[in-house]
Amino acid sequence: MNEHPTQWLQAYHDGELHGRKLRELEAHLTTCVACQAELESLRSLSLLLQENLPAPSADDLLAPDLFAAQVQLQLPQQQEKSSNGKSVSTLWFLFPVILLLIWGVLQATSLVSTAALLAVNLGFGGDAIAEVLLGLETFAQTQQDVAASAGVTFLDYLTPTRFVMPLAVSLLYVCWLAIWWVRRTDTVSQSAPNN
Amino acid sequence: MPEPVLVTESDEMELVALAGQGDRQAFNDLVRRHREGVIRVVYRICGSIGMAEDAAQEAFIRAWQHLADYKPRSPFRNWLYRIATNVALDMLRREKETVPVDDLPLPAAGPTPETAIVSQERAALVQQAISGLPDASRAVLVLREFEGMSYKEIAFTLDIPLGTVMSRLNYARNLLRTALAASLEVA
Repeated sequence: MNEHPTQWLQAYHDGELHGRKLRELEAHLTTCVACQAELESLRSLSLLLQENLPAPSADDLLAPDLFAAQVQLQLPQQQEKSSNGKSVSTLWFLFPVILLLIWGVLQATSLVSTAALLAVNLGFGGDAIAEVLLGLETFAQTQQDVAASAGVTFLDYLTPTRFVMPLAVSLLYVCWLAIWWVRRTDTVSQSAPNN
Repeated sequence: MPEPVLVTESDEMELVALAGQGDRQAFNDLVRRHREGVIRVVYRICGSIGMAEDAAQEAFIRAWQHLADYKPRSPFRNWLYRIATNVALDMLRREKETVPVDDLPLPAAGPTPETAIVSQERAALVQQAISGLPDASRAVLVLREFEGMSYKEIAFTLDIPLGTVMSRLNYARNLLRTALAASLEVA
């Protein structure tokens, strides 16, 4: 340890050095005047702080009973739920929303692929698909043209199976919200003041 | 002055658990047990007894509100000190908006012996130097120098890494050594 280990002096002063580091520093201190002075300076500062800023005396403070009584008077009637509980509630609320988003993405993907497939079947081939990929506006126009030329109406796409999934998801979402609301009401009534 | 009846750590955990279920008497015992320590910490941060008592009360109220967040793997005292430190710093921040650090009260000159005046002046200088430290460094310094906490305890109490405790402590001490150079020479 040839250099001054200033970064370890503070830890040594605070009694936080152990083992090999402690032995090395103590050995260094026996020979290094600069480090001895630095350590002395740290000790003087600690002494100065402790001597000149004593804890407030009991006479200057409110009596313990009075202090505790004042705290009691100010305590809110209700304690807050733990942050874990809040996270669970948030997840509970977010779950159906995430489910709906996933369903929306799946539906959109399905619609696009169906339209692209239809375009290919009606003879538009790779060019039409390329247009679909280039922009939704182009795609929409292409789809309308195809439908018109092939005599296919929008109603032809509205098969019963297309309603099943959205209805199921909507029902699930509504049930989820209802259960969440019931749970929330229960929690609030349980945490109501009991004195 | 009546002392709380329960004294062991397991008793304290029991009190914390009861208080967490809304038992105000159990929380009252916790307040009485930790009142002195909390006031001591916030006093060293705020530098005023009146403000320290207000901050301590506010800290206990926040602790009551957030008892559900307390994890028994660490001492209740450290968790409480974390809240108290935050409350004290918040309060001081609000106060600083109206009162500059240099305007902190200095001892009133009166018919006191000369040595007492010197002592009061030095105490005021020390308090002013501590109040002039950045908030983050001041909290670390107070917990180390006045509460004798280990680096690990400070790291938990302030929710900062151990390395940050060391660097903030070093920074605070260097600033104080500069600010109190004259007093250190006399001492």
